[in-house]
Amino acid sequence: MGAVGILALLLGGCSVTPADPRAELEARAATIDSAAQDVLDSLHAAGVDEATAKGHVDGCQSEPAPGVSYRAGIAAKAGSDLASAFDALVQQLDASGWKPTDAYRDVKIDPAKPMGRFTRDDVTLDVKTGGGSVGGKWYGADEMQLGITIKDGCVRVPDGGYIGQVRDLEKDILPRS
Amino acid sequence: MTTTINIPAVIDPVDRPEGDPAGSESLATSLLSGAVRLTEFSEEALLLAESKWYWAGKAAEAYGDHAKNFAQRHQPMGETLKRVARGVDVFADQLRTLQSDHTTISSDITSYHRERADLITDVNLAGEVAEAEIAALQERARALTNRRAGITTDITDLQRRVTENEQFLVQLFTGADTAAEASSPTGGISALALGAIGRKPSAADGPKAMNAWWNSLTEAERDALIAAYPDQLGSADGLPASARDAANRLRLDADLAELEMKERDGTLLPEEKQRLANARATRTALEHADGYVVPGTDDRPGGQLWLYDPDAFGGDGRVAIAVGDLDTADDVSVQVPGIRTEMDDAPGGVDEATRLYESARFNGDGSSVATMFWLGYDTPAGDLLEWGEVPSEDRAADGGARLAAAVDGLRASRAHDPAHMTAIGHSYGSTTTSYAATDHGLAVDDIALIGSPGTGPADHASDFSVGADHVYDGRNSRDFVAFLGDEGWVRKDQFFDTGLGMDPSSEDFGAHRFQAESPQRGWGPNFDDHSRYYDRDSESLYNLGRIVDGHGDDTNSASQSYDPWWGDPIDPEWDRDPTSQVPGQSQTGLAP
Repeated sequence: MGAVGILALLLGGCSVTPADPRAELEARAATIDSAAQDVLDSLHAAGVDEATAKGHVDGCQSEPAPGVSYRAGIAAKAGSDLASAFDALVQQLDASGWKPTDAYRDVKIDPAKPMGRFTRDDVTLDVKTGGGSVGGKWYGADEMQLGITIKDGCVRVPDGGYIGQVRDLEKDILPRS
Repeated sequence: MTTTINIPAVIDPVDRPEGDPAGSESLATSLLSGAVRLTEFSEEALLLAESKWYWAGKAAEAYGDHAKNFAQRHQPMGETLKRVARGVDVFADQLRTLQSDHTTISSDITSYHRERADLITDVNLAGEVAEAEIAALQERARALTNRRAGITTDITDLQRRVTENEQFLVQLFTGADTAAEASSPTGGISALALGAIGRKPSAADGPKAMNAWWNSLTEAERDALIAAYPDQLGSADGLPASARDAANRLRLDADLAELEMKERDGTLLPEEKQRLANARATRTALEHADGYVVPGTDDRPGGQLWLYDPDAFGGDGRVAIAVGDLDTADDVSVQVPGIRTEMDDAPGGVDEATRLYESARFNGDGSSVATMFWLGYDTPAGDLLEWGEVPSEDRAADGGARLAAAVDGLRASRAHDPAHMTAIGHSYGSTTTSYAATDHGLAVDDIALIGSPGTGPADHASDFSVGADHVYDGRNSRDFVAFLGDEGWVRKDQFFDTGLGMDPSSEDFGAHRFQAESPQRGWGPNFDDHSRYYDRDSESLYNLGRIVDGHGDDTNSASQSYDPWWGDPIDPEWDRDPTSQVPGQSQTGLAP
């Protein structure tokens, strides 16, 4: 590598810790919670009523530039015909402004366990069906599992275990009605 | 013809071990309070003994001497009382275990009696029956006899342990019930512990000798040792993780109780402030590990405090916390952090360990897993992030020796049940790991380096103890720190004094590079991308999970970087679209 390369490296930027990381995270959480409630409505309209949504705080960037993020997860009982439930949900998502992406184009998808990624503004929704295996035990075989994240969702925080100060943002997200 | 079916006898009920664990713990807390008061008293007397500008002469000297004597007499009393308090804590823990075991045995007895009654009924109902049915009844009777023998052994074992635990408590108190004993350096140390510690090998004898010694002890001796010498056992390489965990938790609880009480009393010494901060960070990190449940599942692996040494390295401290059971897990990983990591970073380090655990289990083969955040060396405190200042390799060289010793300890603690082990070095920790693998024969099966500024003494993956085929590297193409390593024909550290050796992602180095890009990556080299290797649902965490699970040959490969003679190094990953949450590539868990 030459000197130009080194200079180019030193020109690279990185994010800085915001003055009020909690406020930044709360703003993102509000957007995600609202999106999660929209998705709960879509699930209801698609005939999938048994759904629970939770908001989670998680570490994202680790030391030495730590961050925290907020994401929502929804688990919905969709029965044995996951494909039909998925199709019904996709119609409802389309009606509420979610656009499909080709994120899983290279994944060999089981037609009986469809999945998809959708975006709306800065929010991303992942829909997976049929659950998965953790430690050899299968969880959620008859479920749809939905994850909601936001673009640039990682908020830089001060060094040294800050995540404990925002854990209280975790919550059950309830339907609007 | 008459056939005899021998039905085993009933089993008498077993007395529940007497005592109240919560009450014992409350007693331990009270004793500790008393011990802290004695310590404060002693420290205050020492302060009073110091010469004062406003008071001189023979009377002042006499007063000072008296105060000093007073302090010297009370200081060992405080230490004795602390040991007794710790002992009562160990007694309470053991009592809780014994009562739980009693419940299990009582339930076994009930079930045995039910099956026995069923068998008697079936035998009485049997008249003229076929031989096959007789054989079946005899088989049931044989199984029941074996079952009875097993339960009887459990009862005998329980009664022996109850007696040992009670004797332990008696020895604890009778060893400190006179003024002379309380003032003695061995006050409150039971004869069991004194005898056993005398046979303890030195650290120089190696972890295998330590493990052999531990295995030669009775349960009562082990309990007595943990209560009396937690500081010696908590960092003894070769001991089972469960023993280290018990000793270290005892130390942590005692530190928190003592220092927080002194803080409330306003008697906390300046040099104790850092110790208290380190203890609090450890408590928080341990709570993260103990309380962790894999999202979307009922998998709750629990935590272990494998190392707790809050005074090490001039107050920076040492700590290691595992998620999962290091004594039994099929797959064990050791995460080695990098620059500027100190004990207050332990909660974040444990969170990384939880995400790694989740990834290894979610994409795993069903094997059990334990992931450990290991801050067992003195990380450099350079201003890499602010000024690009790259630290020297001295700390990595020292840390490499410590890491190899730690892994040897883990290996020795389960020599007959070896785990598949992986060491993961991040940032400067990758240089430390490289030293361990090159100069100290790091005894793991696989090594993963992430965000590496260089591999220290190793010029090629084949220099590592695990062989080139078991060396893996993850590098985000925008990670500033990973640019610092050498590759190609012009070596940066020759011209700019940057970097810490070879770039392990380069084709010159010869490691397996895996995908580690992030959808959040920056437009150019930056430090944020240096910290994204443990992000949930990332390519890097997916591949690390596969390696930890023992399937490094099934990671998603990335093309190595290379340095053509006509220009700067080229990283083929620069232009690839990163993924997140994609099954088989970057999904590391269920949606919560």
